[in-house]
Amino acid sequence: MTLTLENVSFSYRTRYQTVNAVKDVSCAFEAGTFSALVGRSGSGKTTLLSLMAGLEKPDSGTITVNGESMAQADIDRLRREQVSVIYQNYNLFPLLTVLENVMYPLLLKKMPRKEAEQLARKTLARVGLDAGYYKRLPAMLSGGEQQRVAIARTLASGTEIILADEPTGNLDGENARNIVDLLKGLAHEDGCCVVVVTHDTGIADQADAVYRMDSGALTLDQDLG
Amino acid sequence: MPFLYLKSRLTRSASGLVLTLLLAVLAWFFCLYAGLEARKAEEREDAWDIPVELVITDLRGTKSDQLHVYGSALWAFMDAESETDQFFTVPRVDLPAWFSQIRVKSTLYFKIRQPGAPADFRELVGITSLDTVQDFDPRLGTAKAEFFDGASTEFYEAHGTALIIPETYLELTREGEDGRLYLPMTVSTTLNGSGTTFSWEAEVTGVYTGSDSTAIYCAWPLAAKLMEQAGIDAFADSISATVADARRLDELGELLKYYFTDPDPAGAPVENPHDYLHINYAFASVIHDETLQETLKSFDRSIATLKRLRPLLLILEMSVAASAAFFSVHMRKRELSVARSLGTPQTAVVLTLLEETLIFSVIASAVAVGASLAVPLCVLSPFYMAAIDLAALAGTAAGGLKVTGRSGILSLKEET
Ligand SMILES: Nc1ncnc2c1ncn2[C@@H]1O[C@H](COP(=O)(O)OP(=O)(O)OP(=O)(O)O)[C@@H](O)[C@H]1O
Ligand SMILES: [Mg+2]
Repeated sequence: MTLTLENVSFSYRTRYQTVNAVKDVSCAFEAGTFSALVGRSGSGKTTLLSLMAGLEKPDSGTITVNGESMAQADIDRLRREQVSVIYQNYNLFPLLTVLENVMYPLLLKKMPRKEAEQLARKTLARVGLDAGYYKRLPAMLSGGEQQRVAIARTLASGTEIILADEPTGNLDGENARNIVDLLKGLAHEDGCCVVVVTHDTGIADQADAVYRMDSGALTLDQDLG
Repeated sequence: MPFLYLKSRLTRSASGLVLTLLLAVLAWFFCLYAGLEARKAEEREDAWDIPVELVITDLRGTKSDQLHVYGSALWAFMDAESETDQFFTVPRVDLPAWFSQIRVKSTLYFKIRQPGAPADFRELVGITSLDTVQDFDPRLGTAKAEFFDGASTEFYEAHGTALIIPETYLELTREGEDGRLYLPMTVSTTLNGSGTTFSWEAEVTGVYTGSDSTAIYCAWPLAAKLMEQAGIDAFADSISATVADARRLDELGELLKYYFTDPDPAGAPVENPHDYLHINYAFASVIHDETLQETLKSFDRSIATLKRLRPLLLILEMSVAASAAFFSVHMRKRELSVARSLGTPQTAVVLTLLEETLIFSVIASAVAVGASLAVPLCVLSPFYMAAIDLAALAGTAAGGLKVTGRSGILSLKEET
């Protein structure tokens, strides 16, 4: 699974000004790699990630997923089956239990409830959350636990492109390491294409590739792969 | 959108409960308003029970010594083929069924002067009979009637000369040898004191309080005796009646004009079997319905105001429902954006939101119906309740489309 960007540009247009947040970005993210995206605040990392996730449409350029242009694709199907996002603030459904949050993308794909529940349990076990957590609402979890649920949700959905926007931004070192290990595992063991936006040099050091955003422009900082 | 989202909204959401309650209160309040309107209309109907008096007056008399009604107008009301009074044959007035509910009250006036009484104690005595006009004949003293004070004919017959006076007159009474109270008085059959005058003393059989009236009431049998004593026939100068069915006042007015009011004397003669009444007497017929009309008018005013305000209230309630529903969706901007980012189609999200609001509306309506049934004043208004629910659905749809319209990076970015 590859995510390819070709000459992608994007600007925020408001009534008063235009911010060119992403300028002519071209790059490719391969399956099985764990990439880091670094850069100063306001350099356009989140914007780029949103474009890659199909949450925003580029002004120009094309983004392709496995050779399929996002502009042409059914964006909802793409989000269900191929690209998912992990956020700094977890973004779980506040009224759904841990188990239900993980089941959501599965039920969305019309998986039978029983099956979905089984898969959700398995996935939660993988991120280290046992049955004691199933019935809790997100508000009753710590930040690290919530992020693990979010990762389980992504994992269960089976999308192969996983985009994470400062997933450890709200977590302490121990929890952060935990999450990074999980994400790394997704890339290296499950063969996912994982892109992580981060300020944490510790995370960047573990990445297969580090991309740097600077005022909307992307450069490959370092390629370890 | 997976059903569990909707289910969680229905079972775990406090804001959903609040919205439901709000919709219920809005619907219930409208029912209350409608009930208020209906209550006013009912009260207006009840206002028709306000007694209306009609008075037929002999214009020649005006409480003078020239009174010669001889009960003729009264006879005309009587349920007999025709009655012969002393001089005339009075054709019977054909009364419609509702007219028979008229309760005729006739008043004869005498002037009474109490010996030694202060000037303002010289008062009129109203001799009054209420009810069943059929059996009523003042000169024969045979009145099968319930009198104004609720006493029966038998009571007056037993007392013969029964008299009911205001409490303030008690000091003017004299205790007889039999231990009973008597009121000595001078009776004159005219107002100016001319005409026949004679002394009279009658037993006081009752005292009334709580009114500043100074009229002395006596029974028809006593009135008959007084008339006999004075050598006069009858001195009724007016007949007044209380109308049972005030809804027919216009018709009644026409009828009274026909029977008792002289048609334009200069105009063409009118074919009227009751020419007798017109030729011999000049009557004035007056319907005293001022209180009724005033009351009806004030009801009409408040009903009109309520009616005028109703669409305003509806618009107000609909906008409250719509904005509450809108904000209930808007508050969930983030989680709905998450649902979208997970690939939930926009239509699925909006449909789920609509479904949710529909369920809340149904529950709210049920609650409102229950509350309306519990409060007797309320009137169920399904049409308006549906309008409020529709507004909530519209607000939901607008909110849903707004929140999901764009993929909404804004709502998914860091803390918003
Ligand atoms: N909704 C918006 N409207 C207008 N401008 C925006 C909007 N969102 C972001 N921007 C601007 O676009 C640029 C890139 O923003 P972006 O959020 O992608 O930065 P970032 O690299 O993620 O920063 P950070 O590290 O602080 O999260 C910034 O200059 C920001 O001010
Ligand atoms: Mg950012």
